[in-house]
Amino acid sequence: MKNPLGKKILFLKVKNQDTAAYGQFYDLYIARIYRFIFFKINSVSDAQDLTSEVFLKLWQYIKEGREIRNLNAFIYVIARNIVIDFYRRKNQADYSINEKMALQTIDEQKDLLKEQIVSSEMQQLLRGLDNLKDEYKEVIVLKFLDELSIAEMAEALNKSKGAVRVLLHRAMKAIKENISEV
Amino acid sequence: MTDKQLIKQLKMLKGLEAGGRIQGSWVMASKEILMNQIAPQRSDQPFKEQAQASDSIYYWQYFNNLFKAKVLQPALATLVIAALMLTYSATVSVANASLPGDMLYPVKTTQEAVQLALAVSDEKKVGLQMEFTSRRVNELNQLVRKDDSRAVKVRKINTTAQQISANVKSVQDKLNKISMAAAPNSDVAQVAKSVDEKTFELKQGINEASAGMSEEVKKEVAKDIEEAIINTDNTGTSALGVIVDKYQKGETKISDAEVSTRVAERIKSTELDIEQMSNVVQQVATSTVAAVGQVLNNNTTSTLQTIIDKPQQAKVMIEEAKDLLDQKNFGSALDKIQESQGIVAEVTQTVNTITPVLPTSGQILGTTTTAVIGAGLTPVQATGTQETSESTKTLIKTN
Repeated sequence: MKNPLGKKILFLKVKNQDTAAYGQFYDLYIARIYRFIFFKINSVSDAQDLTSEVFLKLWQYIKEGREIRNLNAFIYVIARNIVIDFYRRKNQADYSINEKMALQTIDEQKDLLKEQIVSSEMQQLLRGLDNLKDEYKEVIVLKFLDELSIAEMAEALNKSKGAVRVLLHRAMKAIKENISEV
Repeated sequence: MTDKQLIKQLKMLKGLEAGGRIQGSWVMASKEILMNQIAPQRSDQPFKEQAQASDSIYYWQYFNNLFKAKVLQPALATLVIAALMLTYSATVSVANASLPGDMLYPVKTTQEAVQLALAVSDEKKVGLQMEFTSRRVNELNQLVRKDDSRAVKVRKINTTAQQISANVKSVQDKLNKISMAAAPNSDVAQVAKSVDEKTFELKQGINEASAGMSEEVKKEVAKDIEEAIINTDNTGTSALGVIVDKYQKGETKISDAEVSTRVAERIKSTELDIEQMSNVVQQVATSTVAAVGQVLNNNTTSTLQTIIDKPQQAKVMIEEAKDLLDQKNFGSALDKIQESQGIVAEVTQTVNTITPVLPTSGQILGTTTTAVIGAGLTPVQATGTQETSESTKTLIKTN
């Protein structure tokens, strides 16, 4: 949304438990929250479930009247926690990303092939992305896939803008290495 | 692969489900579920109206928050800071009158420490320290007059005297440092001159304070007061040394008449000290002889021998100094002055080791005014009554 004032007003409304506003908020954030979770879970159906959970949970917080300073940051906190809980439940904390990928991408690819052809180039990129450590993956996804600004990213990740830039730089370096190796 | 290519590829990923692209159908379905979960059923129409009406409230709320954050808070912060600053300066000005032991005294000393820390050059520091030392001397005088219990008074006086000693020693060190390191265009001798002049004032102040003390107090603070005086003298003489040194090297604008005056003053002061010292020695000698009936250990007698001749030695030396001054041989004159001062200090300290052994003892200290050492050295009976004749009392101007 290129309208920062409008966005701020929206946030105010949401915090005031305006349901219509929440609907708008949902529209604004659904895609990025889903993607954020998807890259940690690597399963479409699980990601969908968890995403819904995030929005429900956030509304509960708002309903309880608890003070939320920064909505943008807070929703990512909820999303992150929900993913952690998910892994705890599934007891998959020990699984490496690769194994997860192995477990799931086969199914995914079958699904995806129905909808679109995934080029080998893209596959390579995906693998390179997946092999990154969490921090790096997050910043790349937020920046290039969700197209957030550095300021928004800083809020979402609870870091300073400088830290985000450094992270981004390092992430790019890492993914390039990953791709060239594969 | 360049960054640009990589970014391009990543952006392409965006459109793929494998790249986390959300399914549109799912979005709509899940939104409906969510909205049903969070809101009770309502008819749409009034809802929309309600929404539009309240928009203005939100704008108001937003700008209100903004105003508070950007305008009021900084303004408040400025007010708080201004108030703090005013309170601080008010406190400092009241604190300036405080004495050791008063609640606000630490404020005074902290303020001084800050000033000292902020002073950029050593010259400035020297100036400040002399100023502070002069304050300590004032405090000393006030403490003497103050109505404290003896123990408290003694403690405060001792602390202040120690502080004076520390200050003047520090000044002396700094002065030496400056004079060695001095850049040719800075007139270190001027700084030294003001230090020299000021030490006379300080010494006088300490002596005045001493004169106002009661006997018991005087006894207990003798050591620290004495040291303060000796150190002050040393600093003054050392400052004079800097003046002479710079004069001889031609590194100062001070005229030889001024140098002459300074040396002459120092000689005069030393002469008075010698005069006083010789009186003391005489008194000690007579009282010792008269108190033959009392216990006198060998130590005392031999010590007495060593100091009997000293006054004469010192007098000779100071005469030599005078001659050297007439010849404008400032350097050597200063040496003689220092030598004789050394003798005075030595004798003073020696006398102090003797007098406690005697039944009654006063304190012997140098003064700039002619003094007669009285009370305490009168020959005494076994009962040890301390009696001072009225005439001697009025003549006492010891420190």
